[in-house]
Amino acid sequence: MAVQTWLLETTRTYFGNAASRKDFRVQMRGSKPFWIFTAYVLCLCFIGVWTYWTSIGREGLSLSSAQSELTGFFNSLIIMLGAAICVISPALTATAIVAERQRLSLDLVLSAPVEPKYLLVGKMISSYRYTWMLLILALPIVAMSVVLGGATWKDVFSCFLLLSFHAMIFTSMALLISTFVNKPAAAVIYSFIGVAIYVVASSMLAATALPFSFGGGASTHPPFTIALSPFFVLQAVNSSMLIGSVEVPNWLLAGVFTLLLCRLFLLGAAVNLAPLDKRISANLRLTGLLYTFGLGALIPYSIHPAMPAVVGASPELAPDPSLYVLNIGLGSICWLFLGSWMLFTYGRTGSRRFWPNGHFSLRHTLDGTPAGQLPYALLLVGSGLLGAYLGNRWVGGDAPSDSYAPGLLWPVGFVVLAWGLGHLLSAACREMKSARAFHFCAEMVIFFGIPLLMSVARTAPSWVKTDSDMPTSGLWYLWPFAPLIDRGQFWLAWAYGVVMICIGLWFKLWAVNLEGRRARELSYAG
Amino acid sequence: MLEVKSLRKEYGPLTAVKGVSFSLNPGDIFGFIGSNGAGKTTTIKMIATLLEPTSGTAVLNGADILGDPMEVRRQIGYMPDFFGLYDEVRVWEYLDFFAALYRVPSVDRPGIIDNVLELTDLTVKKGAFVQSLSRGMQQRLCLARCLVHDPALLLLDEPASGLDPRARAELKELIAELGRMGKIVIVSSHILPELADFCNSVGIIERGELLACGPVEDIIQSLQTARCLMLKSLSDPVELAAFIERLPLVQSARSHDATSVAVEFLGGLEEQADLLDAVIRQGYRVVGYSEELVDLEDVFLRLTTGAVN
Repeated sequence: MAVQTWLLETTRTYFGNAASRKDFRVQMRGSKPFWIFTAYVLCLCFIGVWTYWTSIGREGLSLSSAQSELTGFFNSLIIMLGAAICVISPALTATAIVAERQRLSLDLVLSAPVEPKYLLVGKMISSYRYTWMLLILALPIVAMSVVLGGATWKDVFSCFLLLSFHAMIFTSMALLISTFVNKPAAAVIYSFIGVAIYVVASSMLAATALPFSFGGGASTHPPFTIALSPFFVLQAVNSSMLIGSVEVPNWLLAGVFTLLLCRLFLLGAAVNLAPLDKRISANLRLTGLLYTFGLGALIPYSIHPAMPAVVGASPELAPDPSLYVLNIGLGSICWLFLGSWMLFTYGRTGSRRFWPNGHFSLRHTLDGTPAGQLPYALLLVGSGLLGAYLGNRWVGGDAPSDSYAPGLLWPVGFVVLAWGLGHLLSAACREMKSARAFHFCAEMVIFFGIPLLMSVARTAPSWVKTDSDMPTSGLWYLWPFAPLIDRGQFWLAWAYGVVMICIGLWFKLWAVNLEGRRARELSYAG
Repeated sequence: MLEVKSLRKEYGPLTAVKGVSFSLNPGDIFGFIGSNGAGKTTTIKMIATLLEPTSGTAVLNGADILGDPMEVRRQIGYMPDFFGLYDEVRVWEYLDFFAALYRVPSVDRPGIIDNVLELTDLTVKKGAFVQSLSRGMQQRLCLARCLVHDPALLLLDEPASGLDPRARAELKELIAELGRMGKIVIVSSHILPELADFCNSVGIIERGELLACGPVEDIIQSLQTARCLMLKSLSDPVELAAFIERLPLVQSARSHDATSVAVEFLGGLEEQADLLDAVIRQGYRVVGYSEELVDLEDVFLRLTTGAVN
């Protein structure tokens, strides 16, 4: 019975979704779509013909260079489509929810017996379908490469498949951003910023993935991270990765990664739409735990086999085995670092979703309320470290057992610091938005402050062995991330952890004091 | 049946709704009266499951807003004080969209849409774009949207705001008709005389507290310790007032203007007739005798202070 209900609900959500059907009617209404599609196709034709004539359409070209130019023609078309997707997908999706909020129809939809998921999936389908239509319209032009001999149909469809994965990521990311902001213009701008950050990060990851494959540079199999950038589609299209002794195509792994990332974005969006729905909050938080575990396991799995190559290349960088654990500690909290400004802050006025309901309560770990923030963050750290430990063991890592304690204490200290700061800013700022903005800025200062200052002063960390005349400075030790780089200094990581915990608790006490004072003022005014 | 049990909503130190309780039966039209910021919309939003109560709950035909919000939503038609209409969508498409959200089977939808359009007198506008409708028509379309799934409870937040007198009268008639159809209707409004016309019970809320709740007549009765009678005569009003003040059951009598005397009287209808008889027997030439009825607006003004949260 439960399975039948689930099937019915899933069918209703993904096929015949009323929100997507309504949006489709609006998208296709009138002559506007005809002119948009015509302009798009003409634009593609123009670029295609121009690229063709500048590369291939020259006289006196030998057969081999013509073949190479044709491949180049195909490559440039795919890169152009990748760029188009980076622009079109977020632009189409960014206003999906914020427009509903602006025209005040969101409350009407949410008062109907539908989960936020229904609306989000509907919006995603309508935007994604439009992107797909644009991809299909580009097919005849890309197919020219097949006809002329620059690529095969398999290449074309594989590229389109990878591009559609990226479109799906950008669509869900823009949808998440659309639930955060209140103005359509801001939603579009933030979506483009989000996509730009993703593209830069994934391209960097893809670029480093090429020389440092999971086989430690010895293997010809690039990792699936190469398939995560829309500008590395051509390199990723026929690649595969070795997992154990099994060769898995990278497009498949990229597809799994896309689905996981989209799930995360959509869950985040659903929590924003229904912040008081404890089931969705718990779902998001459990997903977060699982992903952190996976991230923790992936980092040692990917780093460890590559280390001999690094050591061989530059012995002075030879890592202490214990470094793995500290790096893994950092890896497991990367996730937190990106999200702590959202995780630990709350407002005090209309923008507030939650009011303080205690300082530390295990009962509230998964419901997203302030009392559950620290237990949940600590669970995240635990989950990341457990993943890291297992990943390290899996690849036969030799990190000494006494390195785990500082590896654990440093992220705990970092989390307590971020938590205390979040509560202090929530108590000090009137709006949740301001608290979040200040928290984000504080994080940026913590992360980039000292390195930026030291690079301006042209001083290197004192633990770096350098042959140059660059002076070193002990000020680098003010950087909270110093013990993760100063290899093997377990006691230092331990000490930093303790100091950060103390500062975090001090911030929290300050916040309690501020909130108490404000409550007294309010009761006096009342 | 709707039972609202000690519904409370706190925003930190601010209590928006302080333990509101009432119960309504099918066919009841309940007027929810209060100043801006009194807690009407917060209460309505809690019943509509759009806000989580800090404590207390509401149960609609056995479904609890906390325990089974989806079932409650299936039975509710919520019309907020704004329209929330989509651009470039036709009237029937708008209704079809909401009917689908409320899980109305697709084969039944055309018939239901026709019915609600007929009920709200919008049949001729079925194919029109919603942004082309007048404000009154848009309001009726919103009401039609609330009716596509045949809800047991209608929550109408300020449905008459911004409407012209004709549209208001039509809406009033429509709401009365919905009550006759056996639906529970909760209407919040500032236009009190209108509410009194078609509501059979009211709740007056101020600073989140329900000050009075029940049938309109009962509330008026409970507030009215003495009837206010107006006596118009050709005699000297001061002399007449002095005479009347000496009669039994008269609390006070004072000259109102050059021809009238206002009397605060504790008796019933029989005693009122006796009072008139006594005045005429005394030789005063009475040309008018009426009871000044207390209306909902008077009750509201008497009960509330105008304070807001």
